[in-house]
Amino acid sequence: MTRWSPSPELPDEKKTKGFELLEHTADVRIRAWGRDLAEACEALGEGLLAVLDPSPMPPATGTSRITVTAPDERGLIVRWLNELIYRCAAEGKLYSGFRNTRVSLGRGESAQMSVEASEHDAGEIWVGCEVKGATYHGLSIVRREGRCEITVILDI
Amino acid sequence: MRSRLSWTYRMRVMKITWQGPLERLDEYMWRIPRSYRPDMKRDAIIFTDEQGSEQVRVDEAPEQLANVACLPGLVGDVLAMPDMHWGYGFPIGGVAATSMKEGVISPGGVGYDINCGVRLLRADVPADEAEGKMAQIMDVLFEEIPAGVGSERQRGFGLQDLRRALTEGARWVVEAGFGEEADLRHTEEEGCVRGASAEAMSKRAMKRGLPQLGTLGGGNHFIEVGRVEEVFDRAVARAFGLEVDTLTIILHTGSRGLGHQVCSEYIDTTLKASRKYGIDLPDPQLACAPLRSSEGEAYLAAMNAAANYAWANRQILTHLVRKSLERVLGDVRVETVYDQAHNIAKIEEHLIGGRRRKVCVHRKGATRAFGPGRPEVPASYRSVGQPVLVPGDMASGSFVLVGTAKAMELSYGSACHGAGRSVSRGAAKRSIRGSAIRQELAERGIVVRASRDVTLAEEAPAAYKSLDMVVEVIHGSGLATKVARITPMGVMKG
Repeated sequence: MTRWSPSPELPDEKKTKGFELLEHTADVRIRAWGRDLAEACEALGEGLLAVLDPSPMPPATGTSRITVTAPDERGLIVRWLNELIYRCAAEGKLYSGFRNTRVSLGRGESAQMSVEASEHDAGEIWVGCEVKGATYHGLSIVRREGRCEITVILDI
Repeated sequence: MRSRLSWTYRMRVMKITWQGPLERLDEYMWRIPRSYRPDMKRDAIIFTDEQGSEQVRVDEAPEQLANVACLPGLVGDVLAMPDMHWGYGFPIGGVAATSMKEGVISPGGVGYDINCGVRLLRADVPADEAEGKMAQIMDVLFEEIPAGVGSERQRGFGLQDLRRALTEGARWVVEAGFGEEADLRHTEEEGCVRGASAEAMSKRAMKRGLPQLGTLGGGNHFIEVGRVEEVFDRAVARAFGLEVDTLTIILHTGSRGLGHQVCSEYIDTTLKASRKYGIDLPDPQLACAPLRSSEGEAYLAAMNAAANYAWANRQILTHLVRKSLERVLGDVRVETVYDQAHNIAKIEEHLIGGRRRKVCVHRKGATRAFGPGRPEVPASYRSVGQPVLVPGDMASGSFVLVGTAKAMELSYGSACHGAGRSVSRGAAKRSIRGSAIRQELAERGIVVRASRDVTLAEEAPAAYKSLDMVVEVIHGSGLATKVARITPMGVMKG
């Protein structure tokens, strides 16, 4: 087996919103960033879609608004991804083009996020990877210089 | 698809080297002393050899094991098997036992694929006879058994069926006419763990699991048709019904999306419970609840139901394997050698500190390996010990071991569950093409059927640790001893 060498290219830091997939021995990590938590969560959604890797990507059938609640922002991030994972696994729905995200952080179960996205019906499309769930392990949220960066490990 | 997204997309490896203390206790036991961190309540013991003691440092798995040693109510040291690797919360290969009175139960100590496990079947047709028909056998298996990511049955089961699977496990399948009483006798917990409750499970979990009942799934799940290549312990092999050239079938799958959903939801529940009961967590993925709390009891009931689903699932697949082999080989008898879980928490009795105690043993990527005489071991195997099934990668095959009295002393009756990954799926995919794996296996006489070539690349033999090293450590340390080696002739991947 030939050995793999990591790409010498670095992620494009100039882009305001984006994601990259990082290695993990048994699983996969997504690092996503944006100007704020809302944009970083939108980028996480796109990162999850890249992990699911549908081939080919089915056309959008409509627009949907997805709302999740959690006790805090860490919980919000995990539940956001788990909501998308559930909808893919149980309802055959994929989402892309995440936009117009509203986030409100509070105490108790009051942290809430609402995201608009294009909905795709996976139907008979092959999804390349079975994602079991998003984990709290190694979950990080870093805010600096007008940028929010989130790292999450998925169990695949 | 990626070209449609104007997003930055890269893959890269982050190399982490764990620098903590690892003290050699003997040839196969290494210790992270509790003095390493003030929050550790117990030592952490890693079963490995000298080479493995260096290899475990390449990722965060030892730190994860140290985190487990911080959980409340541990009755002894926390352990890692030689196939240990980086997980989330518990490392894969982790074992921990907690007190029923002061201890906790952690969904992160079980994992997302609750009762992911292995079933070994044997057929009464010599492997040599089946070898010439292997392509046909694999074609029929691939046709009969739904496999792949999110695979669903064309003619699904109903909600009542699902409820029975959750509470009755493999027994429901056998009573429906898809199996034999002997299958149950040779299944851990006889295929149905007590204390399961469908009510402890969300509608979402059921919705996710219902269409997937009776499916193999994707990832590292597989069906392998093989032959017993070598017998190390003739007497025990005879007790297990194995001899050189016995035709074998190994099933590896679990509770599918139902288990994943239960785990996700109960991690949130137990995170809240951890705060409620004042439990300090070194890693939120180790979220837990006291065993004697409403949250802990609810998780145990839901986890047991998911475990029963997994046993029902492997029983349904057993029926489909029988049907497939009959289609190709005609009159053939296929019997269950053993079925065991490797992602589960079990309430068991162990001799700890000179007294018999009921404890909750978490095994995440580890198997039960009970020695002779234990009442949980099937009557037909009780004089020799429990079969321990250790599958390897697609090329190197699998081992059958037997549990020992020493495992009862050293590891709460636990052993390893497989080879353990050494390379990420992403790196494996970039290193080799699935078609090359198919070709390489074909040259070794192994027929492969897979939903997608990329799965073959992800599961490339070189992405796994050496199964021989893992098994030698287990054998050498006495946690389980070698009985037989099985080599693959046909592999079906999801």
